[in-house]
Amino acid sequence: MTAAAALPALARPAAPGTLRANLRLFWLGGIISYRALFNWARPSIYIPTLIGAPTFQILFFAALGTYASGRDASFFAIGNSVQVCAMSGIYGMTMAIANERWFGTLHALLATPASRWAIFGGRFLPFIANGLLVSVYGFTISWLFLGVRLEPSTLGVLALALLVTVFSCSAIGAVQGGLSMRLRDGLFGANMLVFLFLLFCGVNIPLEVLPGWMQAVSNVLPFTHGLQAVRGAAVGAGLDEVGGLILIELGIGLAYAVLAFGLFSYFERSSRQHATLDVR
Amino acid sequence: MSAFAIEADDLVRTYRTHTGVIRRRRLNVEAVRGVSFGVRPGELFGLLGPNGAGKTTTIKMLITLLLPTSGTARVMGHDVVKETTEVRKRIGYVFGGDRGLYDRVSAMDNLRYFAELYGVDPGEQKTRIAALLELVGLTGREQEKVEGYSRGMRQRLHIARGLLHDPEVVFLDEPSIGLDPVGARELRATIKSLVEAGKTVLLTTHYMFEADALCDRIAVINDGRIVALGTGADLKQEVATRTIVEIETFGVSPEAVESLRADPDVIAVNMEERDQSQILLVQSEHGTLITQRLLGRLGETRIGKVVGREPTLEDAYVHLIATTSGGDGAAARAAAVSA
Amino acid sequence: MAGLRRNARLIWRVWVFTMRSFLASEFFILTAILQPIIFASIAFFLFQAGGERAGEHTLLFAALGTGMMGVWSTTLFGCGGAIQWHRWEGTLELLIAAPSRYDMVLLGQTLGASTFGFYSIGATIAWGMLLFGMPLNAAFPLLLPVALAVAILSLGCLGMLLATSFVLYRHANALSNLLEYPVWIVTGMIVPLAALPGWLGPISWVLAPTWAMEAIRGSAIATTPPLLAMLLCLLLAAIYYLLARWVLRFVLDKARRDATLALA
Repeated sequence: MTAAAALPALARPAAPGTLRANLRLFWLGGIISYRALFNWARPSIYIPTLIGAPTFQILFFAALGTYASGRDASFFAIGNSVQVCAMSGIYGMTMAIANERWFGTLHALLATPASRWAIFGGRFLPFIANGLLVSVYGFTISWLFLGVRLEPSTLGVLALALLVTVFSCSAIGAVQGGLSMRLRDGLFGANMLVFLFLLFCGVNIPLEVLPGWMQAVSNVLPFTHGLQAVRGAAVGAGLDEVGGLILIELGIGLAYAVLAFGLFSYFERSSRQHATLDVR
Repeated sequence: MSAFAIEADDLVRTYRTHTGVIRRRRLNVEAVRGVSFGVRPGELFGLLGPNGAGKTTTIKMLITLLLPTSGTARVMGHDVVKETTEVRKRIGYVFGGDRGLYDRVSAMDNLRYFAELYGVDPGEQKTRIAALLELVGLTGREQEKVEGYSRGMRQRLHIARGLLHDPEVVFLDEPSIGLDPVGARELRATIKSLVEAGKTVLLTTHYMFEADALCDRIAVINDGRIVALGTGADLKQEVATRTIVEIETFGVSPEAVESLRADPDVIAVNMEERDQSQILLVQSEHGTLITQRLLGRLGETRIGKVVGREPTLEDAYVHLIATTSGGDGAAARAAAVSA
Repeated sequence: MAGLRRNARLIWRVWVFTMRSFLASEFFILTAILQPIIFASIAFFLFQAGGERAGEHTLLFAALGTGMMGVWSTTLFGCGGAIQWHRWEGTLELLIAAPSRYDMVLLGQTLGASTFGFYSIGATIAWGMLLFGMPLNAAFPLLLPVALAVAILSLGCLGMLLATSFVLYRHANALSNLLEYPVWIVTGMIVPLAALPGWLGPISWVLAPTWAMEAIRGSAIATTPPLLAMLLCLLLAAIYYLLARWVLRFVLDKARRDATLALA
């Protein structure tokens, strides 16, 4: 080691908090933290968990759904092809935040002057991209093995509805991640959320079959409206018909995103007051 | 504009915890009970004390991770509570231990991420990171995943990370914990070079020889309070007129130790437990002149080596800690030597 | 004879230990109780939505099916999880190097995991009765617990066979994620094989849970006691056990020779 080596001073001083710095942190930082914190980023885990398991989930519910209720397989195939983005949106976002505690990096992170918006906002994007990938794969499986056909003319609308739904799912995943900053077992809550999405939100069970209170709950959760839009676009409904649903889904997603950010800020502030985050 | 790089003014930090399951009682734990000191720019300042003394809590308040319950602190003139972002821009934070790095990615990625967090200019990031890797001796290993790093390598990476944005003040929290002697020596050389480059460094440690070797000034903290403040020489002055007689005993009884303490020339007796034996450190003014008498007081106790020597900083420290432990009411020696 | 008694005691001890450690873990509350209840609800709603297709025994059928799905989940995650846990704790090498037979330890763990699934079946039946008005009237009520016990034994043995491959694979939990749904489908737990593509049939016949499910369904719903199914189930369980022992010996030998076991 070169002892007493005089470190050259920076030609330009560091400037955190500028728009440029925040954008870089958002994009580049988001990608690095995705690789650093997402447990499943390695192919040996990614393939069984984000490709293998969703495949069989779709086939399972298609079989169960058609057998039990007599409905067409495409109802269940589409519902589950959208739902599988939760693997990335919920588990992924939970890991992206909870794992900071696991690695003991949370306090190093919070000691920096970086914008909290940029830090946590940047973690969203890779998981949205991942979720989209998984859902598109799900639709491919549905097409290949279950003969599900999507109306080509409204494919763009379907893609938009899917994108918004994936965003909204990642947003509630971020809420779960925020909770896991403070509560002990983040993945337990993440698991419960993913299961609940199979039961609510019209993924497997048509909303009108569910009791009133379950419909009400579904209406404030992600997936419900976006999925309806996807189902509509799959059979040819255009933006004029499902645009409203897409907007509602976007609104729900934004609400959860704001809630998630509120949780981070609250926990950070509370930790400075009461030393609650195990920052060591 | 303040003359100090770091200023702590009567910092207090209390924690609320609970005890008991049936009847939950609220407990207030006073981790830091009024700590004040000032560190001048370019100084290497040591915060020395046993585990649980309040070192980490104090440093956490200075680096804005904890809010003081009362009192104020300023870093480079900026208040740690009111101007948090300004403080964070100017400080580097290095801590010891196995955790605190993103294991799954490379050292390079860790540094790139924190470079973005600190807003290091994009055009300079590459050269800056390369220079830092050179400084800490990790050049060539930066593409490896951190999970494969040894303890010493991790520590060096911690230091590189803390210096990315060229901070004016660097806080090191027990940086040599768990390092082997060679690694620790290299670490100390790096710390010295930081000060030579004009940075202000605050170091917490419970290794007194490390504080003695490195620091311009040392504050000894015990039980949440500063019990001594000054240069290493100043602190040793506390025990300078004394000599230490080290007596190795095998199974010494408490009564024998008390009998030693009762001797009119004995100032203090501290005991160190070894595996099979105990080392009694007897401080007195007259040292070897009274050895015969001391041994007499030990009576039937089996005795091994007997050595007379000059006091070291360790002796001063041990004495300070022993006389200032045990909560309020103990003789709190705030011997703040003016400097 | 003494060796047999010693092994039996070892299995029993590990069995009890595994069950007790699961009771303490919240992940198993999730896998053994909450997940089956949610799947049962999905099944109940779907069957009810099917209108006239639903028969007198449909809800019981759904409760038993989703309960068995839970038994498989606890077996699967119990085995994969136990091995992974031992690996992280650093005790996997110790277990394998210990004088007691590791295959007995493994069997105890997998049986503990599948026995824990009793809770799943209890949970789905209770849920069905409480919330969906499911009537509980089994055709052969005395055979039902026997069928359940046989089912749990056979699933435990299948779990043991799987666990031997988990010992090799560093990311056992990822494999566990993959194998949940396929087994549910192929063994006809909730969707009878008659309703699935024909080519699945032969695969399902060599999987003990298929016969186990037949046996349970038969005890609850059929007109003749499902004795053949139970016998086939036990036979397959025995085959799995022997196969698992053989594979394990091979795997461990190879690992000791090539230092390839992902033991840590």
